[in-house]
Amino acid sequence: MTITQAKHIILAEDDEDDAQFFEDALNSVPDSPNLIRARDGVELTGLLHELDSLPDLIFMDLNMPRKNGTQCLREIRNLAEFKELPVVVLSTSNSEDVINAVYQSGANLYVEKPSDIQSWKNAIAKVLSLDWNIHRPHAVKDRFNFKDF
Amino acid sequence: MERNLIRQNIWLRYFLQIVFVAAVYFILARLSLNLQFEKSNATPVWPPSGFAFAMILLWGYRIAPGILFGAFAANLIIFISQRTVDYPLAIFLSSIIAIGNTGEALLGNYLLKKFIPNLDLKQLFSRTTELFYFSITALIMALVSSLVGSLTVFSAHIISVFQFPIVFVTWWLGDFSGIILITTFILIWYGYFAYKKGSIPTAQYRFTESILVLIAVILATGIVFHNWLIDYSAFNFPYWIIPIYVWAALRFQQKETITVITISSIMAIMGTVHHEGTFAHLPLNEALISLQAFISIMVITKMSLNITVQERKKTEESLREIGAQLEERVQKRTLQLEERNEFVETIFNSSIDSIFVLDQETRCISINKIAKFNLRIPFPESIIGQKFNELPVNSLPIGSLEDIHNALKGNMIHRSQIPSPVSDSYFEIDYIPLHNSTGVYAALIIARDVTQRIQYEKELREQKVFAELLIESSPYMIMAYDHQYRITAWNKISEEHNNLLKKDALGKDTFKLFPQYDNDTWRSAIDKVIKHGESLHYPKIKFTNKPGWGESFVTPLRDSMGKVIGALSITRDITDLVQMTSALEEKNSDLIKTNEELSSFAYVASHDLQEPLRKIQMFSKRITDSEQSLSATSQDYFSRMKNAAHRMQQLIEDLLVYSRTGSQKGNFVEMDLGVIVQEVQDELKDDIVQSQARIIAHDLCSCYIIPFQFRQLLLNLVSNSIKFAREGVPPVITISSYSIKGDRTIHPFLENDRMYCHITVSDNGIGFEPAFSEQIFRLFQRLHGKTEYPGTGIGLAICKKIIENHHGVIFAEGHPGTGATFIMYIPQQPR
Repeated sequence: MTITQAKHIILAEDDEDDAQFFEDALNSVPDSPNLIRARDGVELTGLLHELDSLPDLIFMDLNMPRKNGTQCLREIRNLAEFKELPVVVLSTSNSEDVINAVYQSGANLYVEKPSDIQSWKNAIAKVLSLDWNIHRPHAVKDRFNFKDF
Repeated sequence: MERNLIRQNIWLRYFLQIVFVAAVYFILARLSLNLQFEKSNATPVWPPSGFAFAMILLWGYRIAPGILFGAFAANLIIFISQRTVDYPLAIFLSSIIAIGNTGEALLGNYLLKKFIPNLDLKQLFSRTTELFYFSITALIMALVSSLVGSLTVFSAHIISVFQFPIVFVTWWLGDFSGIILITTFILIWYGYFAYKKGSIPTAQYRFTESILVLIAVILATGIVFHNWLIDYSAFNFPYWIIPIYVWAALRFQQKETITVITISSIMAIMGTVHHEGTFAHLPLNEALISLQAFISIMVITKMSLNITVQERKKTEESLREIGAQLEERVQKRTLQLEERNEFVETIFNSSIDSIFVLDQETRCISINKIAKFNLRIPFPESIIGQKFNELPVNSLPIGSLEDIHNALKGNMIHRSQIPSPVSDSYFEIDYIPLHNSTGVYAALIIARDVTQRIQYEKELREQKVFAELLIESSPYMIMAYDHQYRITAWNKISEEHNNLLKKDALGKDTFKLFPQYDNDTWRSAIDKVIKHGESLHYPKIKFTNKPGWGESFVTPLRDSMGKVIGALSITRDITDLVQMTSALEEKNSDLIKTNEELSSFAYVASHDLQEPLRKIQMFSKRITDSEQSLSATSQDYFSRMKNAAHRMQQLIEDLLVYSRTGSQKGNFVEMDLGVIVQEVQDELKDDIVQSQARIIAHDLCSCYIIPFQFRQLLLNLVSNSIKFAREGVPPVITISSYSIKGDRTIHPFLENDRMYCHITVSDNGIGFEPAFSEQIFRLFQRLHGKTEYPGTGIGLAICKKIIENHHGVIFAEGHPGTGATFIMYIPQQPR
């Protein structure tokens, strides 16, 4: 089975450091996709409405000013045109409660932010290769948390 | 027509009666006149007189013509056949004599009815006086007839003046004896037949005896008047027959007696007429006169005898009857008296009251059973017969002499609560006079033991006082109501609370006293209790007359039969409680808020504190990875910086776990501990391999646990054991468990009846000083330097918290150099 790698991705992240780590790691991936950056939730939802074509994948931090990740997710899932958009949530938290809340809100995947650059690279490479027909929102919980597989 | 027929019948019957009387008279007269004296028509045997008299008595004056015709015809035929006088004279003389004969019968009838005013022909000879009057009557009437007859024949010169007395006496005696014999005979048999229906049947021996008496009289009369069997003058005296007459008179009734005499008389007349027997030596007329005299005397005397005997028998019989009746009545009366006596005696002795009976001299006549018992002396009967005031004190019946004397004067007296002179008992005494026809003859002293009642009343009073005391001293408001909502109980607290005194509350309608409660809610509430017997509970009601709250119980009041007689309301002032509770609730909500803040703090700590730390680590790593030209000192500094950052990250993570352990209450599920142990082994695989550790787990039970917490617990303990291994000694960790009942352990915090899972985790590591066995469970408590054994000092604190979440206990045992053992008890079943 061939998986078409994503061409356009959006990263919603307020933290400049984390955004840089993400960018550095993404650039190390072969055929790295185009990256559009949003600095908070409001920017993200604004972008989604402004863009001519929808991105292939969204990476999203949870803790963001103005509109946080969970709120964004709800908004996206409530609109028919965005319903099928794959959303990967990035967070420093490993709390079960947080993970559950994200799952309920309709994210496709949960990734705990790695604490070294190599792990970042590995994680991004792997996430980009995933089949989003399998990792659908509200799908099997075992395949929701990135570190579980 | 019918009347004519009846009249014809009456006339026919009368005619026949006349003919019958005339015919019988004529035949009897013809037979008798054969025996006349000197053709004077005077005959010593003249039964027609008796027949005529009997007929007149039975059928009345109206048959007199029959007698007249009969007598006339008989005399006329005699005169004509003897040719003593001329034909016309014969008719005249016969008429006179016939009138005399008829008059005789009419006079007899008149006289007898004069002598015996209530004449009853059916029992004419039942009394001797009647026989006497009858005889007198016979004498007088015979005198009339004989005087008329003899004067007639004398004046017709049929007899001479010398013959006149003989003719007169013959005539008189003949008539008299005829009447005495024949009338008596006819009337007795008439009476017998008239009474036949009621008469007692003649017994067999009587019948035999009557045959014997008949034979005897015939034989005796035959011997005396007919010279039968032996012709010897010694047997010719008529008194030989008398005993047989006496026999008949004594043993038989009138009809037998008169029949025997009549038969005997006829035989005697026949014998005398034929010149045989007693009077055979006399001329015929004299013989017949003697015989007639004998017969008349016999009839009168024997009939008198018979009547006397009968009278005596009757008297005896009625005496016997009266005696029997009297005896029956006496028996009946005796029985009644016995029953009455038994009745009175039974009541007397079965009374639960002591009863004494005293006579006018105050002597004790009688005492009943219970009185004997209550006297409490050895021989209570000994007081009977003694005077009241002479009795020894210890056998004194209850009562006072004055009261007794008053009762003996006829007064009823009642005394209550009299103490007994011989015991602790109390009595109620009634003095009751007893009357007979002469006045008061005795007095009753009735003493009722009322000790129990007095005792009971006293207890009841004490109970009531006690109950009132209870109600009064209650710290709660106690009120009671009856069916009409009237207040029946009102204690001190009620007085204070409602500012209303008990005396003003009792008996009043509560809804009138407290109109603020007079609404459907409260009325229906009290009705529920009083009418339906329900109990009500109001946990919190607001007072209307002052600020505050109360808790109220309203329950039905029942009598001993279970019938609801009212409602009892008990109210306690819970104002302080309510205030305290509301303060507590406020504090509770504060606490919840604080807790929420705390957990959000924990979240912030976990997330936001880790964030910069992670970056320090990442950037320092990028520097060491990319910059090769760093000096050895710089590299060492970087290394230390990384270490410090790592330790801080560990600290934050451990703190986060610790705070979550307290706040998150997970779900209990029944789980095999072996499964958890396996999961922990998998998680620590790298460490186990690296340290060459061996984990021995056996006999693990299953119990109710919060899985993720228990996993954390075992993870901490096992990784501790690996961490604190002795230098050069591969760690051996033993995990085991078993079930045990709370009361079989020495731990005081375990419940006795609960089953616990006893879990131990022991190792062969460096151990610890026993003095630290409690300290090691404290937060941030460490026993070793950070460089020797890295750690945050939170792990065992987390373990303790987890075990507490499971309602269990954990403690540690250890010795330096020999290893440590962690012992845990957790309940096998959820609470």
